[in-house]
Amino acid sequence: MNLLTGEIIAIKTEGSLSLVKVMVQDCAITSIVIETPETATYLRIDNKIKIVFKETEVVLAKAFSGAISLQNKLDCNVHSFEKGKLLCKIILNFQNTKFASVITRNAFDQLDIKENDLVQAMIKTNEISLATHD
Amino acid sequence: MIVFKIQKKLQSASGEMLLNLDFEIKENEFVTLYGASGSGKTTTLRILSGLSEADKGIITIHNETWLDTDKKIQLPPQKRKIAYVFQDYALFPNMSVRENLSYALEKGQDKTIIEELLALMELEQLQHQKPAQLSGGQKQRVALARALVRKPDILLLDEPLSAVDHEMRLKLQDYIIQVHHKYKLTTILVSHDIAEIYKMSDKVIVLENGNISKQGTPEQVFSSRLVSGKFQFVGEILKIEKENFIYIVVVLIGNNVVKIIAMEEEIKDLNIGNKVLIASKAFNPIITKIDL
Amino acid sequence: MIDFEPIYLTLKLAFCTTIILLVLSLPLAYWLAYSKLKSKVIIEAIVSLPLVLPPSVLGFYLLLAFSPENAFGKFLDQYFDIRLVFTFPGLVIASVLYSLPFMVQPIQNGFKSLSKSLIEASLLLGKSKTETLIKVLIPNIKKAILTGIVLTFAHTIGEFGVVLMVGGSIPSETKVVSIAIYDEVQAMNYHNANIYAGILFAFAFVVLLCVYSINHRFSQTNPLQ
Repeated sequence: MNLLTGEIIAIKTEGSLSLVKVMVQDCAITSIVIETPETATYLRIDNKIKIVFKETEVVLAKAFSGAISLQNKLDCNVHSFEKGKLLCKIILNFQNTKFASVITRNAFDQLDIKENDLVQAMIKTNEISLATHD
Repeated sequence: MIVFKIQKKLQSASGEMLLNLDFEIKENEFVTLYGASGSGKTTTLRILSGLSEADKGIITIHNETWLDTDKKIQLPPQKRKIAYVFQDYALFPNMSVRENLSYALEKGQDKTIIEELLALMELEQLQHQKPAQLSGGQKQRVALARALVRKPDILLLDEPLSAVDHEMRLKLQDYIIQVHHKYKLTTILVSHDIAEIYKMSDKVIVLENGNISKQGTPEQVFSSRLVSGKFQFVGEILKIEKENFIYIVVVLIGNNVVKIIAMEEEIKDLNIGNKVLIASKAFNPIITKIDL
Repeated sequence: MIDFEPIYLTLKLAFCTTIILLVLSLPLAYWLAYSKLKSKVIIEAIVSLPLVLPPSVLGFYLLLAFSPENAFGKFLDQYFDIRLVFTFPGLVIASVLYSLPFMVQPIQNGFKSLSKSLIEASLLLGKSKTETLIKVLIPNIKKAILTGIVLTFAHTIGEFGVVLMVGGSIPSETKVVSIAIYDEVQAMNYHNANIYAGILFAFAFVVLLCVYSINHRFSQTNPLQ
């Protein structure tokens, strides 16, 4: 479970869904939740919040160009990794914090990931959960 | 509305403890008292029902005073119309199932309630048996039915499900939820089981050393962390398997076994038997109809 | 031929004593089992006194109390025209006191063995304490009550010291079998003594046999009792 801390900067609501934009240091990350500011007290601009996402939901790209539907793109560099036969776990430096990504060994080899490589970590909007700051 | 403001000195294993409670319960609410053993849960039910005395305090039920130590008002248990289900069932061994229920009838009360409750609790087949011939789950159903004969407004359940197996427990929970709605009861349950609390209660009151340490909905009390998880369950860890740097956690949710992938950092505090909250974004699950 | 009067008298005494004790002991045992008063240990001690006192001690004090020479006896004599010394009613009272623990203790233990939640459940179903006692508690301690009845009955039949002190040996009034045996032996009528002793022996054995077999069946069909 990856955990980053940020502040809510925008909330867009339609029906019972809300698109929440969270500023994590100088990077904006969006999450979609089945809540609205009416149903959830934590949905307030400037509210401190934690964003939570699973390692296995973090997509990695290297020197990526072209259009993509993924909204959350985080520039990171590779801190370290662990290799298995099927899967690899990559620890990433993101600004002054760390989080992890788990991808297949095939993908890892294709990307030719090495320590200190610059990579883009991408997370789908609907894979990010919000947790209150305590 | 139940207003409960009570003080009572208790002798506990760790010395003297002051039970000091102040809470309100709305009509038709299902409330669970949660806390370690010796935190005062059972005593709270006993004081509410009049089986134990409080040193000081007031209890009012729908604006009727049951207890006011300053005014020296103390209604005896017989006059507090309360359904109480004991941990040890407290069925009368000399009476059959039907006789246990009939015993509870008030003078001149319509006897059709007996048939209704026997049917509702699916006890018709057992009605002529003595309690000694019944299983734990059956005894509990009889105890629940008997407590409801007088058509009380308040149902108190003192860990009624702790002595029965898991499957029976789930079934009894359904019976309790059913009567809670059908008879428009205000129910107070003492329970240790977080999954059970999630399933049944509107509100949880957490007791710690005789004081209320927390209260709110089960979500507020037990899972304040992950607020946006709409797809969440409480389960119990059955097994933790390690596959390289990935862990597969086998969790029992209700009577389904599910598997969850976890990382080493998440596993650190987890042990087999732990109660855990499993949450996912509501966007991920795939829903399909089961054709029978 | 022996005189059957002592046998009849013995049974009558045992019967009266048992009935009176049963009625007295149920509320007393209930109180002893459930009262929270600290002073109840005094009553408990008094109830158990006959277990340790020689029968002659109890008999001696009863004799003094019942005697018309003394206050209590005089009071009964003057106001109610009742004489308890060397009479059957006096014998019954003495037996009741002497057999008290044999009835109270089993019943008290019976009450104590019941889960307290049975009483509480009954109270919460709106029933009075008396109704709870009669309909819930007593039916669930039948075995204990039966034990009390048998012990009392048997103990009264076998009584000697108290009976001798309070009742003496008045034919048709206070001469029970145990006294008759003593008298016959004193008169060197070993044959008669033998018959009385044999009857008492056989009777006691048959009673106990019946009770144990009933008890046994009870506990088989109904484990909770």
